[in-house]
Amino acid sequence: MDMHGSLRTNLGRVRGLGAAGHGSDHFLKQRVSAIAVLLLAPFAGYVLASAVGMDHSRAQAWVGQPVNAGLLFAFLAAAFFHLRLGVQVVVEDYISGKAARMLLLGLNQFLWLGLSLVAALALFLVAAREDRAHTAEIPPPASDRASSDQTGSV
Amino acid sequence: MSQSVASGKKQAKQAKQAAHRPTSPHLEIWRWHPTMAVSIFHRASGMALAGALIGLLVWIIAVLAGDPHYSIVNELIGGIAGKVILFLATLAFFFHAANGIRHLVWDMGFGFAPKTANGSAWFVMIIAVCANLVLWRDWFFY
Repeated sequence: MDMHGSLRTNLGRVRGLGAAGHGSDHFLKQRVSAIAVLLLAPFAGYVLASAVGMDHSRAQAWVGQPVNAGLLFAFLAAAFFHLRLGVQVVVEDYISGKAARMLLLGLNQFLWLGLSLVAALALFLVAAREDRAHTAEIPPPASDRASSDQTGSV
Repeated sequence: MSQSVASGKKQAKQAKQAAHRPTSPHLEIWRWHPTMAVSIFHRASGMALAGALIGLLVWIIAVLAGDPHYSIVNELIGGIAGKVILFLATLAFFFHAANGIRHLVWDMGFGFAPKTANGSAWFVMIIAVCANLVLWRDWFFY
């Protein structure tokens, strides 16, 4: 019955390994990220729909608001995570050539992570520039000191 | 030895036969039905949305890059080709979202009966088209 000289049964040897050692990992991640995208999409959609037709200064001010930039990033990060899993399945199903398959699967693993980082950096820089633009509007401390000198108080 | 030659010939013949054997039900011999169409559209729309998200990232980078670049992107979006692409992208989104919810309902164990699955497939297609028309109403009925 046992061909490998071990006392472990066949069932005992495979139990816990699941499909390619990952079990329901891919399935669950796909579903959880789908729900995240579903919940975030209305907010991201509102931010983007509002931005339609804006000139650059207005778009910069709108996207640069921290809540808007944060919502866009959360949506993009969740969507890119979800995409990685979806594209992986499509490549596994339709690309049968070994080299092309390995190349695309490897690329897919890193491409979306890279694009998430690009999105994070771009949105952070837009928000930071918008923040600087606002702090520039506040009267500088020099005039504040000058006015306090006139009144004579510290 | 003659036996092994004979078995080699037999194997070659079998391999030749196997090459001409129908493998799996191919698309071209299947009558299109709602569940199959929606399944194919789900994958296609998912791939289309991958492109749409890269487009969204380009737009965000254009906001960061400032005006000569932003204006170019803005004009592309405002043009007829840009509008058609955006229209298809939002259609793909509504469809993928609606059918995604259908999949989540399946995952909870409901809706597998053929009649129900066909009905929900039609429902998902109709909802996606309606939602997209509502979103783009100003473009069609102004």
